[in-house]
Amino acid sequence: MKRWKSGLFNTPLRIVIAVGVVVFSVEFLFMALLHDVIMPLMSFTVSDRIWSIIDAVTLVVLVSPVLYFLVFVRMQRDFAELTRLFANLTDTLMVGVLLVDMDLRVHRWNQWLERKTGISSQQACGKLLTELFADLNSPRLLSAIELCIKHKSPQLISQTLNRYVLPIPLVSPMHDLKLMQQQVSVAPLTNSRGETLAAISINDVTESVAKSSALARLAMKMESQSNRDQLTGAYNRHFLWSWLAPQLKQSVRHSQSLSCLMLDIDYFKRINDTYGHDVGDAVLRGFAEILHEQMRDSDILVRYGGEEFVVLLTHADAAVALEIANRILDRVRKTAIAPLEVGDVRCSIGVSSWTPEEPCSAEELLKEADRRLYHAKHNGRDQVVIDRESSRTLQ
Amino acid sequence: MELDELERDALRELANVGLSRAATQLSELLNDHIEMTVPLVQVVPYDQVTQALQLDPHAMVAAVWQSFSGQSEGTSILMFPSEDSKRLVRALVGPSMLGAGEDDLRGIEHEAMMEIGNIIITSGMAVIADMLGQEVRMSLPGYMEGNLPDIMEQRNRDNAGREMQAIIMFTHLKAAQREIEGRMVMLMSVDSVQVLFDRLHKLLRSL
Repeated sequence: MKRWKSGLFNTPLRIVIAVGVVVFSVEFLFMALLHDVIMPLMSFTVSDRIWSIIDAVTLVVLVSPVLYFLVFVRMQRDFAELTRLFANLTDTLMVGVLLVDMDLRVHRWNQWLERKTGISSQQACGKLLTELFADLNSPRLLSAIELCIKHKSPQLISQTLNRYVLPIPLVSPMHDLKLMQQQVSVAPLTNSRGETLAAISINDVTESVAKSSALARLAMKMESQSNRDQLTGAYNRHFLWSWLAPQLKQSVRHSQSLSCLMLDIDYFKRINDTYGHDVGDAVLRGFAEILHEQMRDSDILVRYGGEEFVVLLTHADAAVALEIANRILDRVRKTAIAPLEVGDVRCSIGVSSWTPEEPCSAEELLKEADRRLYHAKHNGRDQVVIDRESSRTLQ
Repeated sequence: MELDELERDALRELANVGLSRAATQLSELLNDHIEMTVPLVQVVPYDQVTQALQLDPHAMVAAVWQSFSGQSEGTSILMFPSEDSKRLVRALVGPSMLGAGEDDLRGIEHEAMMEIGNIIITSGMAVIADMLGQEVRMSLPGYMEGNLPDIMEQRNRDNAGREMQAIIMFTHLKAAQREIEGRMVMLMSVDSVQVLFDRLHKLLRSL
């Protein structure tokens, strides 16, 4: 039955033939009836001219409803086709599309979402978003839906300010990301009855987020590598200068003191010559470790030269610096560094301070510490020199 | 077509209510206490907008805009001095921007500003639509940067040839221990503004 019907109406030519056949047979029957039965019965005669008019009118009266019907059928079919196409259109998109009403009830759920969430359209439609995602925690999405429906204003939900809009787990976690990163827009869609739904479209931006955070990590790593000494992990000279200038400015602003320890391992050349470079390197690493243990979080350690280190102590006047320097000296004396015995490694320390009362430039601060280190060496090593007077007298 | 002082005050109060709603939403979004107030509302003909905005014509301005259609048509533009908006975004989304390159940074700033502007404009336009008693359909937001004359010229291209008026809301935004002076400009036809004035009259008489 269905085949016959579609067979009859599926090409324009067949439609025209079918209509022609129907119309002309009906008209022929009607005219025959009129001419041969009704007219003689009523003993009524008319001219040929009148006959042709009757003929034409009958034809029009018969043809128009049939044509009208055919056009109507055709239009309805086209419309149904269009609706179906549009419904399928959302399924062809590479973005998630869903329609929700003010109560967050889902009215449409496209294939992309089915694929990414594992929730089928059948399961989703008619349910509340909060039922589908028990862990939905995006106040911005909820307020965006409200703003969108109430004020007919589309809303952007950027990835920058909102990490997770719909909590959709990733099938294969990317780096440290477990949930899909999304860029979402919510736009109003109003039907002819004036009811507005929120059309939510979701872009998966996980890959670009992962890429840019990987790049950021790489950049940070590169930066930290270029700031640090590979062997000891201490900062290098380059970093020292970039750190010290702003730090001194801050000291000026807040009237805080800052101290500098310049340290040198005693007879390091002898250690290197006796035990080899590997042991020398191990001593450098062990020495840096001891320094780190004695420093506070806000202090920084710099490998200034071969076996020369600088420790910069924030918020520390000469008294605090001396205390820390003495502690370091003591630790070094009492620690067995690398394969060497306790007491094999000793160091000398020069201490200088920047105070609001006696300010100086960054260069002067380091030069003064270096001068005092020199005097510690000159004085017999394994000691701390902090006093300007004594260094002067030694000169 | 002028507003008397009482009417201007009423419009300003309505704008304040609308934008405080935006501030609540922004506080939630940005996890920070955000305040928004409207110290001044002005209605001026289009050709006087640039002067009325009281912004340096050479300074760079960051602008978010949304056009609207329906019975009334026009454009809403929210403007902040470029530097201020950058500093604001950096203060608000700082941690997530660590390690981002200069290009990423710009992208992040644009995106964040667009969303923040989107929320503010929506609330501001809700007040206007409410006053007009009309439904206003908004477009998706756009972002641009430039000096004031450039921005005004670009945004008014769609309205060329029509007689336009501008409602200007001076906005004062307090966030992340910063204060930012912004301007929200609603460009719309003289007729729409007339409707708005009439409704404002009626509202005040009914009180």
